[in-house]
Amino acid sequence: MKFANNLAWKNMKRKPGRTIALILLAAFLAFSVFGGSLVVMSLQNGLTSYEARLGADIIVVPNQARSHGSIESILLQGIPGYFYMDDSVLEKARNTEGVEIATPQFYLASASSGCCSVSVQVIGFDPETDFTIKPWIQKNYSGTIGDGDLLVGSAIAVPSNRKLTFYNVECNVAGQLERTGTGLDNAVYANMNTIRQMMESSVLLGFDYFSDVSAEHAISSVMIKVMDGYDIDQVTGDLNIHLRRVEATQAKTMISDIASGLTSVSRVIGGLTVMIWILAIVILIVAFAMIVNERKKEFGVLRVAGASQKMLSRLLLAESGLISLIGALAGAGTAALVILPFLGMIRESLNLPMLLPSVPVILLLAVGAVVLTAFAGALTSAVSTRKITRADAGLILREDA
Amino acid sequence: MEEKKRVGLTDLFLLVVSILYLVLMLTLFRACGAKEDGSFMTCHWAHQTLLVFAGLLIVLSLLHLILGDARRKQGISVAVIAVCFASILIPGHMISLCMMADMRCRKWMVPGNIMLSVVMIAAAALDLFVQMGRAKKMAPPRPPKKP
Repeated sequence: MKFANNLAWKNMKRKPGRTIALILLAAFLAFSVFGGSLVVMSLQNGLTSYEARLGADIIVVPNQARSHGSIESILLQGIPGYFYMDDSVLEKARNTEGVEIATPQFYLASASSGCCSVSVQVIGFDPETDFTIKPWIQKNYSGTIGDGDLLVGSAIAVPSNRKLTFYNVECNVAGQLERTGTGLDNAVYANMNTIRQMMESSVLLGFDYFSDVSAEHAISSVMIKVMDGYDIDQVTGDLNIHLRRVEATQAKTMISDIASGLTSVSRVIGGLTVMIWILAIVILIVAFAMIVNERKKEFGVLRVAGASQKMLSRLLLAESGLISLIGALAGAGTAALVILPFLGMIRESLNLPMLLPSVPVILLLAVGAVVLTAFAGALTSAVSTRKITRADAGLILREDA
Repeated sequence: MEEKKRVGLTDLFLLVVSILYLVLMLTLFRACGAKEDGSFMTCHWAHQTLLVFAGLLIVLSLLHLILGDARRKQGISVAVIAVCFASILIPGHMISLCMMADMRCRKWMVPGNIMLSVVMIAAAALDLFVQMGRAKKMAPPRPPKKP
């Protein structure tokens, strides 16, 4: 076995060009399997996380939400936006039949965020009635969010003094939330009093976000949970009929748009991976057949020198296995180097929520891709190996003479 | 035994990647620009430090290429690995970056720095392995043990 491995290693070193080409092909296979599965799994995790974060059955937003940064772009891409309606909508929604809980949310885009010249989405909620943000916050923060306290999303770097100032309102960073893979990671969260203070301060500073709604009575959205036994479609329809200048949307509609996007991306990735595999395996089979054909004389000499059929097949399998293993490791490593650090950018370009699986799952995917590629590589050489080991050594040597 | 000066694949690879590191840090992976008032954000200083590291890596790679002795090459490879680890620790850990994850420094500079540093570390580690083999070959035969 050791002799076969040594000989295989020496053969690989003797033809570096051929070896590198085969290694690159195997690397391409591992890259496509590991990279593809990692992206698809991250998209699926992102969708699950987004679904969990929405939490509500129905979301009510003012009609102008479409033009002033829709709720999808705030929640999904983290693009700061704002839109307001009068808080009388909240009471009307609570009085609608079939509504179990209705809670307001406030969206405010900051003018700047202390150190950097970009705006941050500030999301306010009512801790007494909230049922969408609190369950998520409680996973990372057990205290209460007092006036002047902020919780920041995972994508925001917390300053060393733990202070952030928005519209001249200095706030204390009480905690940081876990990653969701959505735009919510780029937002900061405050209670109603804090965000009302910021809203009033923004008016004093000359920012006219509220147009015809007074800052004291402005809310951005109403998150609704429907009572058991009531049809969500029916309640949504009732809300759209009875509430003026607002739009009630079912959360599942927002999710289904993303789910269809995810399905098409997954299909493209899956299709490309299958095509790459078919192409690469055909090339590998042809390459190994050519290599074996080219080295017929060498195998004939080895057979005459006493090498058994088993030893010859072991030699060829060791060579193809080593090449595939090195290529698979290189391919999986490259995929990790490209996808893991640049996930934020991939998420932005796909415009879909993405959340990486846990480290053990990533490792398992990598090991799976390496094993699959090494196995496929070794298998492609099996056809040629069978042919050459069965051939008569004397005949081969006479052919070349 | 007299050693021949030899330019290997890893010598060239280290030099090419270190030049690429500098070029990409100056172009695609650069940090956020100056603010409207002309002042710089903290990521600018992290970027400046990375540029110094990129220059240092080029010098080390050139030395690696010029020097023939396998043991010296090993020493340089260890230095390359150390510099690359330090460069991974600089942005975000030793020098803080901008607040938002979608800003240039966190979206481009950090991932690019990690990617190129890991490639350099892998190449230097491979070179260390290659040079160890060379050093073994070049080592003078051991004198026989005295009875």
